[in-house]
Amino acid sequence: MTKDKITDKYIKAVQKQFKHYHTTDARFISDLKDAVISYAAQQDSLDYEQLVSQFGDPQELVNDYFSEQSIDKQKKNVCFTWNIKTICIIITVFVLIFSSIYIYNINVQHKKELDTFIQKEVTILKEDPQ
Amino acid sequence: MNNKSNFRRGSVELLILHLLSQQDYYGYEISTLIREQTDGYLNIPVGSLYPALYKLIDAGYISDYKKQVGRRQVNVYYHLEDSGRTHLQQLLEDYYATANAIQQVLKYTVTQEEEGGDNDQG
Repeated sequence: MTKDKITDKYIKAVQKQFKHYHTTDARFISDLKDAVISYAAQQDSLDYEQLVSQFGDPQELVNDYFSEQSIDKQKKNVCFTWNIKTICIIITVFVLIFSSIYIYNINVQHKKELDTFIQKEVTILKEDPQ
Repeated sequence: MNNKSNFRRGSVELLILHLLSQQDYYGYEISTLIREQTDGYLNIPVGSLYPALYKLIDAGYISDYKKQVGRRQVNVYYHLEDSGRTHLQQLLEDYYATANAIQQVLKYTVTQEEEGGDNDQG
């Protein structure tokens, strides 16, 4: 496995530990990736265990990261995620309701058009008196 | 969380600011330098280092800039600002005052107190 693949594997393992991903977390992942690549560049050979030994087990690393964040910041992040999810659910429900109403109206209009369908046409020819 | 971890955690900010007062470093370099200078005694994991750096950036004590080093390698360097130098001075004063106070307590022994009591009675 190449160094690039090993570093990518480690970073993905760390990313998997994040349940709720935020902008600040993306910055940490980006910085961690730079650090891992810097370390890898300095090594003649590299394996996954070396990265774990150097930077820590992915789960422990993320636990350290979260333990350094203040409780307020963690609460804010959780609230922000909850708000986004709530807004998405509300928008989805509204879209479903309006779509249903629109489809219902189209259906009603179509039925009306079927009822007014011309079944037969009668042409009356009159003789010209002249 | 044991007492050792809490004590070390409080020192991270001081160590980072001191190193940056010497020159600009990138994140992993700071971690490596601290480990090397302390012969491995202080090992600040990146999970702790970067949040500390972000707090310092948010407070305006340090700033960051990127430098492309290799094909995939981008180093984010950190630079100490003037407000950071002032904050470092404050932290150093606090550190020396705390260390001095701890030394005073560590010098205290019960026999000293007893000797003082006997002299009063005599």
